[in-house]
Amino acid sequence: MSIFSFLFKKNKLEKQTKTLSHLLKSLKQSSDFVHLPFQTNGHYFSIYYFDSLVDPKLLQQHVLCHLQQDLSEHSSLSIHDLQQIIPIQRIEVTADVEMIETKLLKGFAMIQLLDATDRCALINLASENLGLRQNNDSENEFSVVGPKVGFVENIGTNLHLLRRQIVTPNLIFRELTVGSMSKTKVVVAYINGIANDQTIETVIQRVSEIEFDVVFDTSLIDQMISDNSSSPFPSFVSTERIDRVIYALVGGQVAIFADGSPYVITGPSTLFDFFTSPEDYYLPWILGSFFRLIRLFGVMFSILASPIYIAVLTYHYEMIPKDLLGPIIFSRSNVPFPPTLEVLFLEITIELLREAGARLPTKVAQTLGIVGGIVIGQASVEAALTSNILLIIVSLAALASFTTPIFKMSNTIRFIRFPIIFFASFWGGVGIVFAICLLLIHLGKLQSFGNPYFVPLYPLRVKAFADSFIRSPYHLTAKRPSYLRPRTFWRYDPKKAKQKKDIDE
Amino acid sequence: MKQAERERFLISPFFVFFTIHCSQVGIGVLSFQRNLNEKAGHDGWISVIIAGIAAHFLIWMIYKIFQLSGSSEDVTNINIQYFGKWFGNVLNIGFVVYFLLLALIVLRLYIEVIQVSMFPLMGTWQFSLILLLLTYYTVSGGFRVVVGLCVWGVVIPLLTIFPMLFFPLEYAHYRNFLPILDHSVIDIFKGAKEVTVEYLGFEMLLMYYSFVKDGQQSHKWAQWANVFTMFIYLVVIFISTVFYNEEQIKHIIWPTLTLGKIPEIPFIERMEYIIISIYVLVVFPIICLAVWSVTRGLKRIAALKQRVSLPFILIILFIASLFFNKREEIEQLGKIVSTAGFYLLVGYIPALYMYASFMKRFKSKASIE
Repeated sequence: MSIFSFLFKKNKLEKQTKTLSHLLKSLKQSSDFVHLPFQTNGHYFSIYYFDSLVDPKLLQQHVLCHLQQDLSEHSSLSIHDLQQIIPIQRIEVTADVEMIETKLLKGFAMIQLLDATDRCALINLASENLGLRQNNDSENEFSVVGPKVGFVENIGTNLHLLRRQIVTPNLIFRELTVGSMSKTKVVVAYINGIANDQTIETVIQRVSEIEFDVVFDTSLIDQMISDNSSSPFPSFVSTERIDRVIYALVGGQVAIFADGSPYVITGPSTLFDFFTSPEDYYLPWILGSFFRLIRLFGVMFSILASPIYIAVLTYHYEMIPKDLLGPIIFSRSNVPFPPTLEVLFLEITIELLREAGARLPTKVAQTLGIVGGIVIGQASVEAALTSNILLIIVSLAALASFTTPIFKMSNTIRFIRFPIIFFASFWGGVGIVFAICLLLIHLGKLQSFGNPYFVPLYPLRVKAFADSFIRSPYHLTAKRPSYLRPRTFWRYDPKKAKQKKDIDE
Repeated sequence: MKQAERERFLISPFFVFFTIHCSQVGIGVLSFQRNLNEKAGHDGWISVIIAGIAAHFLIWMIYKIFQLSGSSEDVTNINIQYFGKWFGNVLNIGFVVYFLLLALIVLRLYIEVIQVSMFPLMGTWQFSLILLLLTYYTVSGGFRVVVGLCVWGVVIPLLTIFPMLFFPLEYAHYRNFLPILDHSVIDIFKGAKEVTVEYLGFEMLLMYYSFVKDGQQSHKWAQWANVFTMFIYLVVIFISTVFYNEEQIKHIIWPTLTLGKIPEIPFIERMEYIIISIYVLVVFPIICLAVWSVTRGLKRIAALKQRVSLPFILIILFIASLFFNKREEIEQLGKIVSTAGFYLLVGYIPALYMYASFMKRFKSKASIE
């Protein structure tokens, strides 16, 4: 232990006394680090940059070109004069080696005058969009009505997209850096005066406490800042849709962006947030509510259908009426397995199909769907591995689980079906209710940024029901939900929005 | 600062409605008609109302006791305040034992229902184990989680089981009620004594009162919960009176469950299986609440950490549940618990109330002089 701590200390000491020449020496080990000695009009420079990070066009047109042409006008040159010569914003002059290192690694070029080597100018030449997608059609969270612009991998573009729609000085971006290797830029966005201060503090504290090497995606941040990381339920909504993020921000939530990730986390979330789709708000409220109810019913069906089949056919066959008994006997008479095995066989087949479909290239996946859906289904019935009725139930349940708009939640629904299947096969109907109990307790315990997850059901917030099971008309949802404890409550004036007029007026 | 910290664990007064109603309506609602019928016959509904009104008074007394004693803690505190450290703690231990027995009898009775009508061959230990493991998961989440479960324990059965009870009205004989007041007043009061036990459960308020934000404000919700309980019992007794005749009811152990056999829809028969399954949600919160009360009581008496005592309590419950196998044994246990509960209600609470009000008057007089 003492040896290690000694090493650790030594390491730290070394870092502190690192000089510029040390840094350059270590960077030169890499072949893409370029040192460009330069001389015009009696001025001697060195330009250092990473070839792989810098945009060559910017370097040629804005730096080299101007240095070559305009330097003749300056007889004596100090490092601060570069800002006048080079037409690039925010040229920083510094002697801080740490800063020079990070900036060089982020795609800045460093210019050093040979007369005064202690201070250097840092010029941003990073090629922001090289190799990244320019646009995202939000195909993973598609909606027929509404904008089809999604976030992309470039955080600058994402913040731009956000600020274009929320035109208020109160939209605040707080920048943090996460990841010891990746030094990923993470931005916490919120609307000042709406979002709860305590929530903002919690978010920023949790994000800044993350210890990790490379942040590949916001979903890593999501897992590391979640209140209960050993729950199958996602703590926060993650979305690639702009309208969803804006809606969350306006409602008083906080959004987290990370560079390199097209998905944005919004929180604190509740269970119902995962079942709302932006389309609910684009359609008339009656249709929106209807589709939302269908979705919630789909979830219930997807979770409970096959367990109920097991419970009824294994233990409670008295519950089947005479008229229904005939078809069930007819379709199951050749099946040699108990219902549990039958269901597990089919459920696992469907899971395999889904997993294979997700991993295969798109064009092959289409064929797979046909092979899986028709051939395997039909063949397994004919081979008397499963019954026709179960085939219908399981495929309907699979279909219903796809209605969840947030991918993470639909994965959860895929998963929690299996424990319930086991409960049902051990204890029948009682087992199913045991499992539901467990689910309810678990959801009651969960929190998202310290906010209850199961709200508005528990704790009960009757007013928040306006936008949970159904999507009420807009004059009823003018108030922000109270469980987020927003600092101001009204989104817009409901009286103006309502404007009830008498008949023929 | 400590107050603000504590705020996170409190429930708002409104939720007392759910905790009280949930703990009142338990396993007894399946079977109380038989005992009631023996005493008061078809006039049982009057007994239900009388017992309900008595329960209203007792709830009022509990709130008065907390008001008079000036403490917003729980009954362990009050016992020590009024009866001294030694005798007060004896009473407290009595409470803890009572809650433990309450959890045990509810657990065992429900398992009996399952065994008789669903899984005759399944061992007691299986259900006992799974229920107690779930209890551990719930109670370790704290009082708020227990209350959350109580809410579900009221809402879901109300939406699923309760409507099923109305199907038998198809075969109702409304003349079963006549003649009204056929039984003597004494018989009706005897019936009321039988039903009082069914209103038991609100005495757990004595333990969790300090977890209610602005305790006294929850009074009206507690009374509404009792009204609602009375309504449920009245509906059940009404339907069973018009559906069964007096002779029939004597031979049915769980008349309410038998009512559940009547509804039929084209794709489901024998609804009582659904009722028994969903009944987990009725029974389970009571067990959790009682176990929570036991651990809380032990914490107050012996400063035992709830996390430490909870597994032990559950192991005790598990082992104890294995000892009661025959119908007579379970009935015996049930009788003990209901007698203890009855005397707790009509003996202890009024006595404590009178003592508390006497002390208050005495003290105020002394201070005036």
